[in-house]
Amino acid sequence: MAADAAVVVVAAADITGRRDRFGLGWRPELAAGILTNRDRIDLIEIIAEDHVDASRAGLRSLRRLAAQIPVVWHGLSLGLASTVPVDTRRLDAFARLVGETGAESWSEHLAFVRGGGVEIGHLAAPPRSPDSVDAACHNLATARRIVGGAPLVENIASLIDPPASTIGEPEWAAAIVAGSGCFMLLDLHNLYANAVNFGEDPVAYLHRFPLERVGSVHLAGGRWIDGPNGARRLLDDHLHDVPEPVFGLLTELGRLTSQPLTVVIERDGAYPPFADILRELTAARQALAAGRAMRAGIARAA
Amino acid sequence: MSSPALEAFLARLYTDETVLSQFLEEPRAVAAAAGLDAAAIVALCELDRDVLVMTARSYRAKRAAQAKPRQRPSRFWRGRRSAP
Amino acid sequence: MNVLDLAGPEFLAFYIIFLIVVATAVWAAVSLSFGGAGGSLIADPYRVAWLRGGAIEVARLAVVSLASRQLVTLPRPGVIAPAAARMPADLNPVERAILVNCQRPEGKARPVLRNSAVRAACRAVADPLVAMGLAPTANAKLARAALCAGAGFLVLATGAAKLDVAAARGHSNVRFLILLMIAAAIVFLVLAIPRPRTPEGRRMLADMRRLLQNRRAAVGPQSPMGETLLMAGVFGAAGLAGAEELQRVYYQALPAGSSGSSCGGSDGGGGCGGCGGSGC
Repeated sequence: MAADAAVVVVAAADITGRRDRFGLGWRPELAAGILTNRDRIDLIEIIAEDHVDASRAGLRSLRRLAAQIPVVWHGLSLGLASTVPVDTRRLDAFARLVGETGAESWSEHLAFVRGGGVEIGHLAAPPRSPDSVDAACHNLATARRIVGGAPLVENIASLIDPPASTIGEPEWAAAIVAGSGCFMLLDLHNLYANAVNFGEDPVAYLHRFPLERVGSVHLAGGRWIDGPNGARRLLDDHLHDVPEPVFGLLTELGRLTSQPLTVVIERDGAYPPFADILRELTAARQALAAGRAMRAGIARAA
Repeated sequence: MSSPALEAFLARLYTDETVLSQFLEEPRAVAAAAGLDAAAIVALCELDRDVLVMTARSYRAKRAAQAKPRQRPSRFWRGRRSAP
Repeated sequence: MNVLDLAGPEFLAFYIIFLIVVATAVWAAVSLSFGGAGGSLIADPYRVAWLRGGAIEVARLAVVSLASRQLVTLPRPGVIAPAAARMPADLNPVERAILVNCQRPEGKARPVLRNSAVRAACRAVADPLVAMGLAPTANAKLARAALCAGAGFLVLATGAAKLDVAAARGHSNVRFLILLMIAAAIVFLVLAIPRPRTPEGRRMLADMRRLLQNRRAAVGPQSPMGETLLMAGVFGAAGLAGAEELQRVYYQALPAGSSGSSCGGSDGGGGCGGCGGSGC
């Protein structure tokens, strides 16, 4: 079913002319803090799956929220990087949500979430190959057609290096971005976790991504987990503060890019006092500003 | 190479403890029984088994967290067939 | 057919249906409106409190705010005592009016909250809401009263006419009709009571509740006062579930049975939240 003609989504490509912006993931536990501190928050990112079944009254409340503060939608369940074609019924639901609430953009993950009728229940990294690049580009074209605008595509964290992968993660993401015309939502904690888990230098790893196509950034935290026989992995659990190395990556990203960035801090539980979350947002502003200043200093010297 | 069959097999490894245990015992046989091609079987046999176990545990924990009562359970996570 | 010629039981059946139809029509006229895509949210806790329960809820919220800043204490249910001689400069007008009118060293809270200066300060909270169409104008309140009076007159006049016909025909078994007429009068009196919010105001309040649904986890003893007051404004006592001391203050400002008539009434606002319950 095609999207309603009233659906209007500002394409991710339309990011020129805007300053850097900083926002938070919308969670019911943070709602009161967000509504009483709107002057310090530029936008909110809402998980689409929490509202795809929204009633008319629910959509009305989301419209009111979007009238108060810019809203971007974030999907978890489309599996756009799967070799299985994306379910168009799910896209119809996204289109309704995005269109009815007047959101400015939407995003999803370069992941698969189900296979053979089995729901994994979370994001999984597909084998990185030309096949999955082609499949992702095809799914993204379908998504653009039905929802009315292309999503920003996010890199995910994976404890395991997907089997049968023939392409590195940054190069795989770059191929999808180039083939689909989408912009990236670069999750710096996911990037950091993958780098440390697979023995890469995080800064060098960052440099390999298509940074000129980054429109948005996620910041989050995680923790180290132990496995059998002494195995250790950094888990991106969204339950901890953003670590300093990730702020460092944000500074580096600010130094390397000239386009405006939208930075969103994600927190899914173990919520600290809201003042601490605002302090983290301030730290993000400072980190990116530091990178911008370095870039400006380099430009002046040149 | 990637394929729906490989993704389906990975989904079962990540969510079904029985399949995972069988795979860890006899990876080649279990992968072959799933109808995967030779290249996929080789790639699966080369997986770090300890990390595979950690990955499956992590997904299990996330599924358990989603099973907790929610204000409006999303239909999107209710697949046609979920692993036990 | 002249309904006044109906026999007693038939007329009573007609009268009950007539009362239900007229009362429902009046309720629909004053409670429902269509359209209204809604503007942005109201995040001012006092304005939200007005939508939920009018002046008395605004005053109650102000007591919570004053108590959180240790400017008043409530040593016993229904008793308020100013705790400090100082009058901070940044008080909200409602808070200031309450503090000014508190008896020293202590006095009953109810007269303070119903004091004319306090009520005037509370009514001023509603002015922007009226401009936004979320609270009724004075004309709208008059129109509501006039509509209810007219509908009530129609129903009661019909009953009175039947009483007259019955008397002329020597029938004296009119007790049930008189009871129905009394019930009708009560129904239309209740419908005539002005509500603090319009139908759009009711939708705004419902939207705030929906967005802030996780109220129990939202505030605690250490939460910033802005968040605490917003949750109390939206949910009343239930919004203070994580801040027990302030919840106690909320209840003790007006103990159960003394909440007055400024709760939401019958136009489905989801409950006023301030009448001692926590199930909103």
